[in-house]
Amino acid sequence: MPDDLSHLGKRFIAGFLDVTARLGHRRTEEMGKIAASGEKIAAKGPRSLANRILLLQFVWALIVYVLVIAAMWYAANSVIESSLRNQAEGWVVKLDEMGIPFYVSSSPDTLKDSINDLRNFSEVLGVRYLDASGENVIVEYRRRGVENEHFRMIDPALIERVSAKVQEQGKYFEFESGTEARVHVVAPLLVKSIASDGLLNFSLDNTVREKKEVIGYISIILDYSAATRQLNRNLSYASAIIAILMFLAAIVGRVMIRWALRPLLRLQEPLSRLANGEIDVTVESSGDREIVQIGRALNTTIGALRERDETLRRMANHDSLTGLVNRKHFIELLEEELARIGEQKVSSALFFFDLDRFKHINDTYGHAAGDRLLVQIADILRKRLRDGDVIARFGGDEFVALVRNVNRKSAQDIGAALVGNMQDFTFYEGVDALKIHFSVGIAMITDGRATPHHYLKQADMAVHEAKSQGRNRYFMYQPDISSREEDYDSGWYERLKEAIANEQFRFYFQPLTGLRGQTARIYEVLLRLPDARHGVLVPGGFFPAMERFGLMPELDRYVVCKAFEMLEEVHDEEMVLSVNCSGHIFNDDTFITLVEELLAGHKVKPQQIIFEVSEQVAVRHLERLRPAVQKLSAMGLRFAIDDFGAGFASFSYLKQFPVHCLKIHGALIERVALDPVDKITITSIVSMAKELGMETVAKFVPNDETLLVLREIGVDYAQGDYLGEPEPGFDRQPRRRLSVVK
Amino acid sequence: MPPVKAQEPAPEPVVAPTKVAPLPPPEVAILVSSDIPAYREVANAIATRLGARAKSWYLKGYRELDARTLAEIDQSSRSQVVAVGLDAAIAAKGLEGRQVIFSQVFNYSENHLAAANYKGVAMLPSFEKSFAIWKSISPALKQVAIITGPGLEDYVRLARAAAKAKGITLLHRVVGSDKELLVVSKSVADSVQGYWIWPDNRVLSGIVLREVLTFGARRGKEVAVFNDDLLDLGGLLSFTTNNHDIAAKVIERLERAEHKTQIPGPVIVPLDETVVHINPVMVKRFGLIVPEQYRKYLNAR
Repeated sequence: MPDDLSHLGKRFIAGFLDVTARLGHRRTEEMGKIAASGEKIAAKGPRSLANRILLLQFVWALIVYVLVIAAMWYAANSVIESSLRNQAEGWVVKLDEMGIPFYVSSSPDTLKDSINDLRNFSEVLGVRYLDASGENVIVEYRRRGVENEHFRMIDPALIERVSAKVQEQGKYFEFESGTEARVHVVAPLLVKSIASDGLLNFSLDNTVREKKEVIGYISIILDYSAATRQLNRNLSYASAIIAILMFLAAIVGRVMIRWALRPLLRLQEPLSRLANGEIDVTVESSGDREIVQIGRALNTTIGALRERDETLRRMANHDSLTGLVNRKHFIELLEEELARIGEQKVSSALFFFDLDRFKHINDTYGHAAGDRLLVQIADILRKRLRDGDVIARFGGDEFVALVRNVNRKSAQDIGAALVGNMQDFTFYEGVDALKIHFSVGIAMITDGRATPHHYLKQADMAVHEAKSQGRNRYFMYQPDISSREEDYDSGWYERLKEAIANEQFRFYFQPLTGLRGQTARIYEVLLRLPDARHGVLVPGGFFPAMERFGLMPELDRYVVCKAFEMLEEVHDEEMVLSVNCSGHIFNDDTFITLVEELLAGHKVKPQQIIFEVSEQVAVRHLERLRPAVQKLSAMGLRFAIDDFGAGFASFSYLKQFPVHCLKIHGALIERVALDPVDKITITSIVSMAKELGMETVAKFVPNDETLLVLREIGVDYAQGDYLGEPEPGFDRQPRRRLSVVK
Repeated sequence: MPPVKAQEPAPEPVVAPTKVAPLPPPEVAILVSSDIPAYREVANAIATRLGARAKSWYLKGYRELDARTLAEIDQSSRSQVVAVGLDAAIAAKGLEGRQVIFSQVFNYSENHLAAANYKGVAMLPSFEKSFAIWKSISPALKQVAIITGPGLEDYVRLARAAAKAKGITLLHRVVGSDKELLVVSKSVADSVQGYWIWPDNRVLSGIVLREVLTFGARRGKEVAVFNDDLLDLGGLLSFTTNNHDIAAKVIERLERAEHKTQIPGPVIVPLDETVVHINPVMVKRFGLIVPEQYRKYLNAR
């Protein structure tokens, strides 16, 4: 029994591990499917181990019962047949002795009455004595209804067989079961005599040779129907009694099995809860050794599950960098807050924060610095807000906070305080001390029936307004800006989608000036988006939104297509357009095909296109970009690393990348004429680029002194508003020619 | 253990001298049915008494050998033949011109052995002495049944006379088979106090012997048997023959027949002796008292 329980325990553990494996998947997108399958299983009703054991017990009992009854019937029939044989033999002996006078008397009929004594024996239906030929009846007895034909015929074959058996065995009779529970017996009547005259050699120790002679036959009909009926009745009683006993035994067995399995059955409820995804379950781990082992194993596994579940939940609901709540979870919490507000008629406030100089920090000091800044901002918000409030990071530099149970005045105070805190905050990066500010938009939540998106939009509009009003301030959403809501509502996403679809973007071109007398006319393609409220938006005004809405790949494709169209219109092989790409486009497998189609469909040479990828994108997504860049490069298209040197990244990635041009970050160029360190840095970059066969472009060139230094260093091209501002057309000369420099 | 004689054999009869010179006694051929103790001992006893004038031949059970044996006897000058056993007696019928005395033959009549020069010696012990012993042991004995096959009237007559002399009524029934013997023995049980089972092989079988003895023991019937072994099955007394008695009777018949054309006397002459053994268990069961002179026969097997 302990082995069985141990086995059962192992099965439970194996089953449980299976459940845990499934639960692991529940944390992913499979959760819904598994839950659905769990419901199906529950509805179908999985088999119960206890029920199966009980069913086995019942089946086993039934089999035993059938076997016992069959064996009993078989044994009883064997016994009755054996008994009948014995009875028949007894009757043969008795009738043999009784029949002798009929054979020795000269008038057997006078003795006929003696045979009628057989009527006292109900099982004897008929007896017939025949002579040695088997044909002539000497005397007979038969009950009413027994006819001549009921007696067995003594034919020559029987006589021959009997004679042979008699000589062989000494005595013999034939037993034959007939119909209607009758037995027919035929036996020879024998006389014997000792062979030797005078019995002179007689001895009890020796087998005396005897002569045997058949003097007649006895044919007997026995009726054992009464015995059979009695036997059947007794067997029926016995079967019924056995059935009752087995039924009682089955009931007792059922109780005992249930009692024995009770510890396992107690596991059923927590296990089914566990199977349904609940992990707030504790399994009893006391009692039988096996149950204790199972309970401990389950509790340990459940504990691990809880931890993993908690970890997964935290990962699913929180921002990995700052530990703040993420957008998805924040919206869930906001929905709950809206419900609460709807019930309790209170008000809360939604704060939207937007760092003012985050992109600059990222670009200047790299993403690691940007990440550190985000963590510190999160800490500031955490410290300033209450434990019950919810702070979330929506991505990038966007932070959101739900401040519960505040009125408009309190919310404004909090907003002012937060802005003040930020004004006091200094971000230290290396030797630099940077003042970081943010704009804050506030939306009061007073109506529980509205959607989270409604209030998020209001807060977003408010922060937008704060930024419009000069940044480093808060702005409480006002109904009077609702008139602008429609504009906003059609929103960035719709507006940007529409701008791409309707080609509302305006293309500006900024020339690159060759510092070594190059003839190629190279222009960087820049985008502008006309805006009804703000005039014309530069990329910094709509790129973040496009990034957020995932529209960058679409914009990239649009710009590349337009570049090919414009180059074809120009019909100038010396014209080169440098197109900024976000990096997302290289994840799109169809982009390569698109470029191939564009090259095939336009009279444009591959060398007329340069793809610009920022250093941050190149470094961060090196592995992702490399296959696409290598393919495009093989096709003849060229690549430039934009803002090179901004992030202090290792230059080693350049060896893995078919880069043709380095556009040196403007921050290094601005002070190159004044700062020897910057000059050395640029000299190193240029030297390295030449070694690697790359050209260099200096961005944001501010004046002639800088141009001279750059030329002295060996930079190939210069770019900047000083040399030529971005203009809608490119069919013009740079504002300042190199000759001026000369 | 040698058989115990109830009485010493009688002295040989003295032949009276004649005036003429006596003829030498004829030579005797002793023909024995087979070499079994019951025949061989009797044959030896006869041969011993006859001395040099007797010669023994044993049948082998093979026709050619036995024919050769008979031819040898036939060609010899031996005018008297002693046949020991039924087979020898039957074979001796083929010897012409000889006087044949048979012994150890029970059922002589059915085999038509009786003739003028063909007579025998009884195979049963002395009836007188047997009944005398039985009566002395069981004084209340009045009726005894003897059940045999047919053709034994000579023996029955002798037995009945001997029984009557001792105040015993002999009830004789003739049966045709062993089962009939059993039936008859049961049917006469109420009329008799004892049975004497003779060695009539025709109506005896092993099982019937046992049943009769069992029946007798159960019903309190005293049963005299022809074989010592049967005492173990419930027999009270066993009456058997003495070989010397047989030999003496044979020689007596030979001598009386010497130089005569016929063998004088009856077909069968009874024996004078009986060898008795008493079953002490049955004696005790029946509450009998064995007289002093017969106590030596208790446990005498």
